Amino acid sequence: MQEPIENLKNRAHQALGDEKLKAALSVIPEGFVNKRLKAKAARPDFSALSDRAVEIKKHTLENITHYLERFEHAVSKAGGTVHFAQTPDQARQIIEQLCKERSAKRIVKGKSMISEEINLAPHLIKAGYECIETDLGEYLIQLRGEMPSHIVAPAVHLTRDDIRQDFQTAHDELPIERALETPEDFVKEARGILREKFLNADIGITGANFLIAENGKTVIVTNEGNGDLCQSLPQTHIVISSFEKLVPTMEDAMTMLRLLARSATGQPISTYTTFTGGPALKKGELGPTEFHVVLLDNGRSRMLGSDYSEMLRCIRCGACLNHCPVYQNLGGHAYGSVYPGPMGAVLSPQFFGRSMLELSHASSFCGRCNEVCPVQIPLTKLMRKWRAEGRQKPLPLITMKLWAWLAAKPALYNWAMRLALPIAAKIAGSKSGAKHLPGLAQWTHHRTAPSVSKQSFQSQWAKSEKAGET
Amino acid sequence: MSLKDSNSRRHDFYAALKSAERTMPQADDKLSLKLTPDQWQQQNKDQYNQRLTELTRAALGGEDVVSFFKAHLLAQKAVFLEPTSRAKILPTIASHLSSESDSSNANEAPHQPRLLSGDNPFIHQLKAASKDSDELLPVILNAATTPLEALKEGEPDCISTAEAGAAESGTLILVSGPENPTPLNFLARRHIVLIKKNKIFAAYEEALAEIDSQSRKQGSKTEPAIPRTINMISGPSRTADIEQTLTLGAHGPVELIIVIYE
Repeated sequence: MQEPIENLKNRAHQALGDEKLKAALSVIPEGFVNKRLKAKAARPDFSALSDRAVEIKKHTLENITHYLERFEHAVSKAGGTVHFAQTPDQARQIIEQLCKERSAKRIVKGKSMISEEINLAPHLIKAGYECIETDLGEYLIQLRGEMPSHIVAPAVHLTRDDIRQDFQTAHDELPIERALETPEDFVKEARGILREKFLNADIGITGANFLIAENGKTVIVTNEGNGDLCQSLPQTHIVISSFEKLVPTMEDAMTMLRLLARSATGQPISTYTTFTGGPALKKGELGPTEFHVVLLDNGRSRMLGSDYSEMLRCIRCGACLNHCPVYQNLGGHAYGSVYPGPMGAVLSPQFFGRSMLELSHASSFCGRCNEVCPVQIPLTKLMRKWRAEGRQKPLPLITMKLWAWLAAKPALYNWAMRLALPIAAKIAGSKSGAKHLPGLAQWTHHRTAPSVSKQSFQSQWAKSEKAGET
Repeated sequence: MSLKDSNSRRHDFYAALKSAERTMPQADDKLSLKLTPDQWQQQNKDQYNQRLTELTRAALGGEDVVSFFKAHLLAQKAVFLEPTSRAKILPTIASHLSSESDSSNANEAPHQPRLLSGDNPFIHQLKAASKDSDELLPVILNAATTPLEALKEGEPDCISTAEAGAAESGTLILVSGPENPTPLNFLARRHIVLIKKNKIFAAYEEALAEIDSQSRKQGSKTEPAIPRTINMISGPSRTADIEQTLTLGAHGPVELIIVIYE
């Protein structure tokens, strides 16, 4: 994988200068924002569903050990095994061990953000396995050695020209003069190449959108059907997931599903939603003979006990990315994390450490993310928390103390204001605002500072009160 | 990795969660319910499943459940066939399949039509009813003949039966088993799904209740036979990964063909 450029600011500058990226990202308003709006309108009870979804997630998290025990019990009863990993390293070890014990050669993978979180496919490839991402978008970025740039549409930053080149290099067994023009051409070619891989794979790895405590099922949603081929053809199915995906019952999962696709892609439901669990034991039933679930913590239990616990409600729909003015302009790679956008700004420091604190600055705090979140996560509140934690030099205490002292003395305060405002107004310049302010060049470099009134608010107020009396 | 390792990892995992549960900030807003898991399940049963069903019915806006189901699936580019009787189901499907393969892409390898199904009693019945027809009849895979190999020879067309349908999103619900092997749903080039009209419900909760009652019938009184896999299918396979342009037939079926029968 390519190492991202140091520093959010540099990556943002690079992204803003990339015309091709701009063209690729221009599909987001029509492709995601408007579609979500229409889907939401078709469901007048959307906000009631959202309230219920919050209840479901809260209830599950408040009783998390109970539901985890139930889930574990149900998986064992169906003949599967649950494995536990505190760290990404442990999770990778467990999965590698499972592959080794089965003398696996080829692994087919469904799309899973948690596998991106632990860099699973590159790790398995390094360990000598053939590990193929089968979601078309993931396949495209795997060919390029890139990170996903969106949690739902990982290759949203690519254009047909990019993909044509990659296909011609990667699929060199096909005639070079073949047509690669329409989206159908690309999809058909990938289908042919990947079908062969599915049919001859030893292990299938998928993620899970939900885990059902009452019956031990894992849930995946896809539009392509690739996840289902991963989990129904190879002899061993491994699910990589985490505890916050648990919901108590099938019905609870249905409530979440009503929100997920509408928020993500504006579909009423994804084309394929699959509940599966346990090996295929019935005579004549086709399916894997082994079923494993690997649960990763990686800081999630710490989040659960902290002020960031609300973030564990996230269902990875990507609505906060699609509606974020910063994401819309930068795309995902500028964030330097597999989790971009507002949700990524909150999650990444938890999973990848303090170097990710800078992501909390990739926000204008406009609050659209809060509004569109189907599970009502206060994203700006949590980002602000990270900003505070990340502040290296807090305002010197003496400044704040001086301010407090002054503000508590109205007469002195008013006098100081009368004195200070004309000076400030002079510095801030014309009515249209200041293009340069001493000491604030970083801020005024990109925007104009508002002009400063010569009269303080208090004196204006007093004047208008007087005018009202007469 | 030894058993001891995995036991201690399990122990650590639960210990971290238990300690987090103790320090978890207590939510104080209206959405915090403080129900025990048992109360939760009871509340779901007594109140919420019904309420969500009603909300869903309201969202359908009083339209007939079957026509809403069809409208959703048509919007997702599924195809409906309407045979006039049960005996006509297989012949109608056969003629649809062969009429299409004639006109299909000329530069592709000639597509030898093969129609596969699981060891499905209903399809056995239909096959018996269409005995005299010389049309394409499904090859029924059974425990003795089902090696996955049968699926590896090119892309077959497959036929399955749905256990239930949900109109709210135009969704077919299929359960796994020898009658409907899961891989057929995804390996098929064209997937044909048969669904009985009275199994189409408005809301997911009702469709789940139907699946649940079927698995109770199949299992013992105390132990319902929970199917290994439940597939919800709402259209042919698709992707928008190439420049956000909707394209059908990504990995799964290029065409989803539905027959509603009485």
